[in-house]
Amino acid sequence: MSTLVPLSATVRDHSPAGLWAALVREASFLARDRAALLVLGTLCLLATTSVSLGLIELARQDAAIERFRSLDAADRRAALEGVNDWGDAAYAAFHATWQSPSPLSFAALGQRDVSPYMLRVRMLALEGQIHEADTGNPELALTGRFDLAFVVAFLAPIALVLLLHDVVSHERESGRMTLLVATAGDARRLWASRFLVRIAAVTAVILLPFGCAAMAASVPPGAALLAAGAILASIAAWSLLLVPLAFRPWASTVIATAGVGLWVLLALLVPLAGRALVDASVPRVEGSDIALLQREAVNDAWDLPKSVTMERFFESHPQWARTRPIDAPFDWRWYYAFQQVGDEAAAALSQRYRASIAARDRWAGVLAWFSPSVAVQRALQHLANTDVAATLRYDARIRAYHASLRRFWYPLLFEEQLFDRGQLDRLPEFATGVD
Amino acid sequence: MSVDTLTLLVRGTWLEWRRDRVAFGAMALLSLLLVTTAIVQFDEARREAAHRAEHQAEADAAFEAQPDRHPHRMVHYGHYVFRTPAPLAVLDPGIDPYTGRSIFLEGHRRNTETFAQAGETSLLGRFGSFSPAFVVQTLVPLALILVGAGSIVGERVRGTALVLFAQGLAPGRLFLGKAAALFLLAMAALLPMVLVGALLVMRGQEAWAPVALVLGGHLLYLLLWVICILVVSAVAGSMRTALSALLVCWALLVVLAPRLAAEAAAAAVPVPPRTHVDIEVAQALRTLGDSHDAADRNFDDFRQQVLAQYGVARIEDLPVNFRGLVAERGEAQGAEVMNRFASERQWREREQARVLHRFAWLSPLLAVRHLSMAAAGTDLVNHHRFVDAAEAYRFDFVQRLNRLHAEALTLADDLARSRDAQAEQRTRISAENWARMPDFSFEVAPAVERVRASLPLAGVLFLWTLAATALLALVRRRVVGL
Repeated sequence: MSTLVPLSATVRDHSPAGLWAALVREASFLARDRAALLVLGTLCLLATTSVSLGLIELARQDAAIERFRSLDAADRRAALEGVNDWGDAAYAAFHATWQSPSPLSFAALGQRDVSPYMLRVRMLALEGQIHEADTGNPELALTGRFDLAFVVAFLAPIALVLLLHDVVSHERESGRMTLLVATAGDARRLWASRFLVRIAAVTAVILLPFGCAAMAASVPPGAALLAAGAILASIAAWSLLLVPLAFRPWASTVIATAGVGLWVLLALLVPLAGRALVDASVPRVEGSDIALLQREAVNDAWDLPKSVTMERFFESHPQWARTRPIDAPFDWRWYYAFQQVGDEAAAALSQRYRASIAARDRWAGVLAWFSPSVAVQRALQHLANTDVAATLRYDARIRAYHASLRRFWYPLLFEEQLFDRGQLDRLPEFATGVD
Repeated sequence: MSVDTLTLLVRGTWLEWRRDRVAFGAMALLSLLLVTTAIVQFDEARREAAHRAEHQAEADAAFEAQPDRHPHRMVHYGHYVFRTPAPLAVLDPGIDPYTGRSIFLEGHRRNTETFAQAGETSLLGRFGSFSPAFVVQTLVPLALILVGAGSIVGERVRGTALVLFAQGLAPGRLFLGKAAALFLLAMAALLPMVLVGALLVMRGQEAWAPVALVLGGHLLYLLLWVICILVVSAVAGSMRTALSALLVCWALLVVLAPRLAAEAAAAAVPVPPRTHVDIEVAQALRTLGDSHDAADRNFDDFRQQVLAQYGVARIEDLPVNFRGLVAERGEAQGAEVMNRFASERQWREREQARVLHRFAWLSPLLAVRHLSMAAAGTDLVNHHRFVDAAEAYRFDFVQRLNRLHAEALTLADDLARSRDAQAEQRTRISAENWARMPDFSFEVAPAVERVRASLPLAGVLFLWTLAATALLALVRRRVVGL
């Protein structure tokens, strides 16, 4: 084999410069390996495509929120135009809430395609509004998003299997092994440089598109570095599994099969089995049950004596207990009181619902220890603020905002202030701050 | 050349795989996966069906148990309907996990489904929803690649092909033998699906034709992969080139193509977010007037028309409650507006799906996936069918209540009920009326319709297979040429 000639000359050199030379030589071998180039080129194409699609999606979400806010403002103006009492106004005015995407979310779209990031709420019971889903075309959702987190979690390991599986066995199968080890002098350095170059190439074809996209989206350098660290850690974890495999005295095809088998196990089966375990250990609270309970409570109020509802309301809002009693069959104060009571009736279940989501998420975190694919997706989604915790934070912000709406309307309603259109300009606005 | 040599060749290939532990490892893993998913999916489908039936019964009971009420209170109380999954969802749940399982139906609003399973399961299952169809479409090709990538190039590299040819074996026979060995493996992988399908037909839960289409589509798809693997294995210069090329093919066709196709469809036919459309609907509805207020100016023409029809001068003289008529009229107008927006959205979603299906020419995965979903009745068309059925049911029960509002109540009581407690009592009608409402029932499209919808994609898949076979005939010479 002609490539062996320079090998004997350089590999015996133990200096750092010698290692560098070994790396450069291995890189030039890799550059001539057509099968490896095919794999690396494909991975680069996939990574570039994923970040491009991620950037497009990021822009799309920003534009959607922008338009949502302007539509909402115009709609509220129109809705409030004809009203002339507080009750009607509170009933007619919807308010936009939203969660802006972080710059890094191009790399990990996370939960944002299944849980809503825009929602309009009004003064009615919140539990009847907050569980609404803004689902897209399910036929497109079926395919799943194609983000960088997906490439790193599922495709990079396969590329690593392809590039690493026959580094050793190929030499053995072509009968060059003895000669190679004999002439190399330091066999460890030979294998180390050969593996390192391949792993570095995989890292480069992923991190390069990521770096460009991160700059295009002006991701803060700290977050970008952490994300790059997570990607690097994932590649390192897979390499630590696959390199020892490559040294097994098996045929190349056997090693490749074992590698892909490992992938199926760690990337697919562990999450699948984990989900079944989580399902069994953390009982799922049905979101529809909350909406149902809230609806029963709200509707029952129409058939209960007004005083029952009002007493319950005054328990949590004693400051209005001394206001004029309700005597008419319909009174806006009573109407909003039973909306509040409806929310309170569903509060415990709603709390359990969120607690179960958080608990399931914690279990997924435990599972991450057994699957690098789960771990890297979680890490990237955490950094990109697109994880389950982020959706729960958005949920909490909607609740806080809805509470501030109630704080605005209750004094106007219960003090029975004279309707004054000017007051409507003081309606609380949803805070734009990043959570 | 007899059949015996062919059997020998197949048996030889199998022996070789066993020796290599390749086929053994891959197949053991795969059968484990297939049997697990089949059982898990079967169990989940059974539990899900029971869960939905139970919730539907609860919702029906809750509706009927409501006390005497003003009929319009029941319009706002509303009703829940649950979608029963298609029988074949056991094999291919399709878009089911991505659509909600229930819809809350109420007056004045056309709600969307709530609570898709996908939203509740976080990232553990983001690669796809595990089902027998997913395993066969995505993972079985992977296993076939691992087992078959070296099948021909291996014979050539080891020089055994030359020996075989010298003994008078035709290259075509070699291909056939290798193909038969690989295809037998593929059929074994399909076995759990066949068993479940047969069970569904025998129990009378599903017609044979859609089941046959789902199974046949997947069989054709796997045959296509077998042929592609042989072609690449015949052309490749080395084992590792064959393996790399095939895994790259897998990544492009199975992983990348569907996702790119989905992005292309989303870009070609934009569907505005529901939150935007809801605002537009609210704006359009506002122009109609408030059907809770019989004095709303928007109903002036309607009032004149009703007065003329009954030949009276004032609404107080009508034999029916004018407020109920306005509620009925308003609901009909509102439904018309909401249906306009809804059908616009459905049209856009179906256009997106059409763009997506066009990519079946680029990726056989898309062809088999949509063929299977359409035949199973778990595709977009059947989803829209459910949504429309729910809307028709909503409109019907709301209008029945509005009719009661018009006929069972007097206008005087209805107008006084916000101030006069006794009048309010008289506007409550008997709870017996709630039980008289028809129950909701929904079934997937009839088998004939589903079969017809999936046939074009079966054609695409067939053409794919034909093209691959032609390619195989072309590369036959490569094997001899060595």
